Amino acid sequence: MLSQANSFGLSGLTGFPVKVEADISGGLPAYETVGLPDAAVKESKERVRAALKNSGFLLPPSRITVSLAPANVRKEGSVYDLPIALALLCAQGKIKQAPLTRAIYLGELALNGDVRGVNGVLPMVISARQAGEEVFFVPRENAEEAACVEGARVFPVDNLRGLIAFLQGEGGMEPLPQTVVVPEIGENALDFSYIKGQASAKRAAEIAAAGGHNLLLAGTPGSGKTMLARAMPSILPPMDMAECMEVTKIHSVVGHRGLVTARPYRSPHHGASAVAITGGGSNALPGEISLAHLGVLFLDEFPEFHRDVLESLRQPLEDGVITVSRSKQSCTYPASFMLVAAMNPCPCGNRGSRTKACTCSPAAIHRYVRKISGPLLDRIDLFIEMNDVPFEELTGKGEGESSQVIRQRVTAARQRQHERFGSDSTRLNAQLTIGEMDEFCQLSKPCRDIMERAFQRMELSARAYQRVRKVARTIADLAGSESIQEQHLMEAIRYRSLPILQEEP
Amino acid sequence: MIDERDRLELWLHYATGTNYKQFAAVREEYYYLDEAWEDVRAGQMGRFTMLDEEGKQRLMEAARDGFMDRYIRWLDKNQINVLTSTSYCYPSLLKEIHDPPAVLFYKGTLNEDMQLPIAVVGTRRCTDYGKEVAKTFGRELVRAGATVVSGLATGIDGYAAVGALSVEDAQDPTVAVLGCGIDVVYPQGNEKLYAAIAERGCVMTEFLPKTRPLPQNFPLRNRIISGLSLGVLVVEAGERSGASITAHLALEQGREVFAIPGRVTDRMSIGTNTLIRRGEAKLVTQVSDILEEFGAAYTSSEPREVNLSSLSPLEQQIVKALLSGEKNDDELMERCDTDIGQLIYTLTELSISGIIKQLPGSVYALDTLQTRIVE
Repeated sequence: MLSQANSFGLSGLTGFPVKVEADISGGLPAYETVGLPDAAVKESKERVRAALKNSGFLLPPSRITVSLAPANVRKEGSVYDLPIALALLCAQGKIKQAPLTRAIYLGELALNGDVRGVNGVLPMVISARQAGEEVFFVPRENAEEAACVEGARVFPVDNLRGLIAFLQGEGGMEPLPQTVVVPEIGENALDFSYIKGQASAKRAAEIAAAGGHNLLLAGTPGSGKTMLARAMPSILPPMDMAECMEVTKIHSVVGHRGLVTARPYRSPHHGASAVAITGGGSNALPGEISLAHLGVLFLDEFPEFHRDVLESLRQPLEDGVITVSRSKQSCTYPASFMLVAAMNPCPCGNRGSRTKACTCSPAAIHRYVRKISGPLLDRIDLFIEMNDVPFEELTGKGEGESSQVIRQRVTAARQRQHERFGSDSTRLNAQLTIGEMDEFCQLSKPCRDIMERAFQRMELSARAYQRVRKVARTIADLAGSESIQEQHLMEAIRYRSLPILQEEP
Repeated sequence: MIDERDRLELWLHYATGTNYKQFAAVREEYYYLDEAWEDVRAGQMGRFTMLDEEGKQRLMEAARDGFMDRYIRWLDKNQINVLTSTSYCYPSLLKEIHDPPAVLFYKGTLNEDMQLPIAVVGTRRCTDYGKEVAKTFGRELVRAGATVVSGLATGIDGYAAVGALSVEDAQDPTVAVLGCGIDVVYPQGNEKLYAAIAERGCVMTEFLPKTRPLPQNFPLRNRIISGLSLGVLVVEAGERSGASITAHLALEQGREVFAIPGRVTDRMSIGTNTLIRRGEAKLVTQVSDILEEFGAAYTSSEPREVNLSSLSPLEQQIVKALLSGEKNDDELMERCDTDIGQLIYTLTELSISGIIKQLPGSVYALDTLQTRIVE
């Protein structure tokens, strides 16, 4: 007998409908799965057989064919265990056909018949909703994320036996109420008040947060670069509902369960490969830059990252998206993150310290600094060097401002930017185009004079010009000023001059 | 350009390399080098007792048909100029030393009478202090009309050349002497500086093209640096540094030696402080200390005077705090009553007007080489 159950597959962040068909016919006992299954889908045969047996159903010793349509698209993962089991039961006449084609079934089976969570439920449910589907049976682990999709009736499934009973009309299952997404500030984010001293670095962090600028921190080991980066999410305004969904979608694909409500903070190790950072692998999964979407990507020991990793950051830093192309598929993932990079001032780390001597030769320093290419530095708006903190200051009582106070200023500055850019509410100063800069970042005559003098005196590059204007715009926004004033510009210039980065023999 | 006499000297130099003794001995034996050429061509090596077998072999090899033509054509093609010791534009000061290089390969323009040539040398592993002093002295020497001679190494030598080149309207501001072949750029990464010096000044060497920068080349190179110069300024030198060797060569050659003093705790100032202690070098704190030795008038820019009262109250607070030594911005925050944004833009303002400078580590100091504060 023939039967069919509806399920969904995932390519990148977009889902596609998959029809699971099962046929049981006479002949020598056999079990075939067709429709480009990967190893996990092929192995579903054993899981399904055991789960059915342990739920009180036996597969007949006949010829069984399971087909996953469309037959020309590769199917991956364990998500089809549940629809396959149901289709087989239907083919034996144990349950009716109708409910199987009116809902979407997702889930992996344990041998005892329990239903386990799978990856990528949220993007599949979103795509299915757009395709007009309404009823979803998903593992309980994934139910919360699925239920935040508007108009989706999500039934959490605990085990096969319960689901079969429900489908046979015995009731016992209720759809979840729609999950309310409550955006929050990162729980594990550090508070700014914990950071002693470092007034100028904190100020740079505030400006970076307000304008969405990328930030490069330099400083001796132990000066608090990592601490400052960890505290960054705490001064960013919370995400809105749509942003939470977007971020959860990406994290769901790589196996995160539940909703992501706080801005992501990712800090991959400097040994990470280009694939780990940008995304890829045989099934083109999102990488760290996409997982940091709408949050902070912290790259500690910046010059120690492989050259190809650093260079691969250039395009997403510019575009905010990354297209991962593999032979079998090509996926586009959002990657609009705030880059916080940290580096030592020299290979030994003591340059600029007043307590320890630097032992690096100028050539070694030059090589170290040169690892970060000009085009990449060009995409980083703010450079700041941390102070070498004396011990007594680390333990000192002096309380700095709390993250909440800074966050209010950041939110106000972002609000001002939103009003300026109008409809496109996600735009920030960092993403201004040259044309928009001429409109929004006009410099008065005294300001242009300052620029000229600064470029001569401080040996700034011509590239720095646009960056300085953008940062000055953000500083003016923080100050609530309509136009860029001289003091805003002069402060912005300071964030462009990092003595340790000056190129010389 | 290369006449018959140069050609013979070039030939002999090819065989004897940088061994000046051998070169001089052959010159003594043969007053007219064409006789030597004829002898070698005829295979009569009897008079070449001062050469070892290898030297004779090279002499014969270079005398083969067409060899010298190819060599000279190659030099021409690569725009490498040649100066021999008999040439009339050979630098006059260099001619005075007891072992002047027989042949100089160079790129750029070489003046036989350089304007007040002063060598600026020092360690390759310089500190930020050394870097700044080298750049400033390089620049100010050129402004005062001197020529900066250095070794195109990383560190002090390179920064001195950078400082010299920063004077835009200067003619032939700097000469670099290499410890390798003229077509070898060492250290790697110095290509830009090499090109800039070759364009506006002169890069020279006595080593044959393609010679690698071997450690034994550098003392030979150092004698040319001091030989070209009237005085040698050592900016920073470690305990046993090449710069100290240059200083001693300069003393042997009867040239003036100057040294920049450093802190007693600085490893890279041990060499310079020792030179001063032994009375071998004159202690130098400003460019005019060097120039007065040669009776040259110093008209270049002395530090500009800035009156403290002409500054804004916050600027005054900052400058006063810095008068007692360098401070980082947290320390300045403690000493000035202001918020961080205001402090940062005031610091930028002071840097732009050349009153203070920013050092690694978010540390600020008064820029005493540019401005002097008067209260």
